[in-house]
Amino acid sequence: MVKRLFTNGYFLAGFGFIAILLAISFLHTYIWDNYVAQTQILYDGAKAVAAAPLSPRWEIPFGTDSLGFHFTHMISIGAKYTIGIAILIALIRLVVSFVFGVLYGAYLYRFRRYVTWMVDVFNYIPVTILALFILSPFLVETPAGFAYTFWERVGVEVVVLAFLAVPPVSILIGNEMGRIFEQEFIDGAKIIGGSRLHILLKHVRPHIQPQLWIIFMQQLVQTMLVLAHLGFFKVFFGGTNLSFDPLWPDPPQSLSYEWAGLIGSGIRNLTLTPWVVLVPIAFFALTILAMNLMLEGIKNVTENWRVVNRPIKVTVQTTNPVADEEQFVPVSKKGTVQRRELKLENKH
Amino acid sequence: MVFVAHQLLRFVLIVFGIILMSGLPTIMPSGGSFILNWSGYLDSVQQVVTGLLTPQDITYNTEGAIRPLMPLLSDTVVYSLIIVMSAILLALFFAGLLTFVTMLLPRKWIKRVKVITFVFESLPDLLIIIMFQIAIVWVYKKTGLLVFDVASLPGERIYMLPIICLSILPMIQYFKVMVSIVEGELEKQYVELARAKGLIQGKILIVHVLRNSMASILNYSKTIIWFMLSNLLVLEYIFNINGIMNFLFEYLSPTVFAISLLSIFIPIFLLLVLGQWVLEKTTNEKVVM
Repeated sequence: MVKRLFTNGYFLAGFGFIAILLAISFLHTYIWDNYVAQTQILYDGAKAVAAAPLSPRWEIPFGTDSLGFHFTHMISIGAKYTIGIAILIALIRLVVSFVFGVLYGAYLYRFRRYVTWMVDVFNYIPVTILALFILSPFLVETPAGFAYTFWERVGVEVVVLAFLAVPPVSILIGNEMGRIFEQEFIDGAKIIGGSRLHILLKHVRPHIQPQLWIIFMQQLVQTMLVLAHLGFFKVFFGGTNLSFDPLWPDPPQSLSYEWAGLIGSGIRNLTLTPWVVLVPIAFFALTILAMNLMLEGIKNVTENWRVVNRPIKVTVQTTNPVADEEQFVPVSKKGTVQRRELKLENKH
Repeated sequence: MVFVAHQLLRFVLIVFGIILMSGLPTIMPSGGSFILNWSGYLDSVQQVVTGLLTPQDITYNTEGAIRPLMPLLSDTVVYSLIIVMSAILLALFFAGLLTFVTMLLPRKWIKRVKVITFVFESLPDLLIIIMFQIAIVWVYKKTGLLVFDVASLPGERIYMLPIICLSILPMIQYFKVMVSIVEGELEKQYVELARAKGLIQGKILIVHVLRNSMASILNYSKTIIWFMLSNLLVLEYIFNINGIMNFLFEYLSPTVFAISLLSIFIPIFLLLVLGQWVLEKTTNEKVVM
């Protein structure tokens, strides 16, 4: 399957984008030592022409924030945190939901209607609101400071964001599982004497595995969206550092150059310096697009999992100089199509 | 009868779920420990239940002043609901129109349209809403022409811009779903029969396919509304609209959370159930919610 994925154009495009982004991000940290250029005032000869935040221009492709730091560098450093955290959260969601999903799909599928209704509440409450509601008392700094260390806060946030989606995803996986368990070939396997575990591993797994990939990618996109929203509402990853200085309150700061934090810091001057907000959001958008491309690629590959339906055009030579045995192709007219299965049988 | 009983059960389960959720912030560990605060959680759930039973006594705290919630809330809820409902109707109408036009196109073009839809569908709601605001301010700066009011002040309410803004992404999603539903529908035999009898494509689409795809569209509406509610939060924040989401965001207390979500959930739920009932009565399609 992996080999097939890497020949799929959609998947390759999405994967390539994310891989390059991550590679640059890691290089930035380990080779260039997290260097972030700062231009607070732009000079033309000896004359100052502009002050930070500088709009995007030729030398500074994405502009700078209000302190003069270049967005190009900040985005590059932040990429690995944002994408990494999203992958981590999506992975936890998948693994935990898989466990619950298997239990539900194998034992409680009879009551699927009622179980589905029980978690239906998640279909009426947006995750963003729920996450804001639960996390903002925990993550926004009070004048007394944080009660937890940075990594403790990150851990709690990851766990909360992951578990918020566990009930609906479990139901999704469980329903898929139950549907497969009701297929006729499962009955066949049971009659022959396969144990529950054997059926799960040998007969259900091949069907559920591609679905899990798809669910993982969908959760990844969802997580990215929620992270962007949280950043927009200034609930940053690992906590929001508020400045309680009465004279010169700094804007709320993200603790790394994580993208969601970059969105939130610039939201106040949205219409004056739009690029400060738009650059991180645009990168969110591009990454989400790349993830969706990967998702589309996986869907394409898994849908044509067993049989390649693409008909193969057989070119028929008009002249037939040598009566060769290999040329006995069961085709008479030009342009007639032949299925691949047929062709495979001919090949020895 | 079974239908009513089932819907009632669903309703009760969801209300129960919202009440259970509204206690969640207090369950979070505090003060440096990592133990879940179960007793605090039960207390706050109890508080929410008593609050919901006597809604006229609920107050909210705005910078020291304590005000009663009730008359204010219904006003904000109605405003938000008007925006959401109009946006859905607008999205449905334009998505339907676009689908109709798309299905009349040659097959090669349909494929291209699908690719474009795919790209647009991937755009985050944040980007679209922010771009909208920046674009309008930019037009105003250049030409002095204010296309829409971009921010609402206390006392006056804006409708046009938030409705249009909120309807863009649902429209794209509806469009995508409708195209795939209609394509599935067009492969069925009744369409072949209709074609054989000499009906033109447009008539088949409007009269027969539309009727048969209503159930699937309604089914999908739940997901779209869920998605719109989170868009609404961003929208109300950016345009400074005093709607229910802004209110919710500003006073994040368990009781306010529960009552705000209930007040927006109940009308939407009733509408969906009504739609389901009407469709199951008038067509043979089964709606699975």
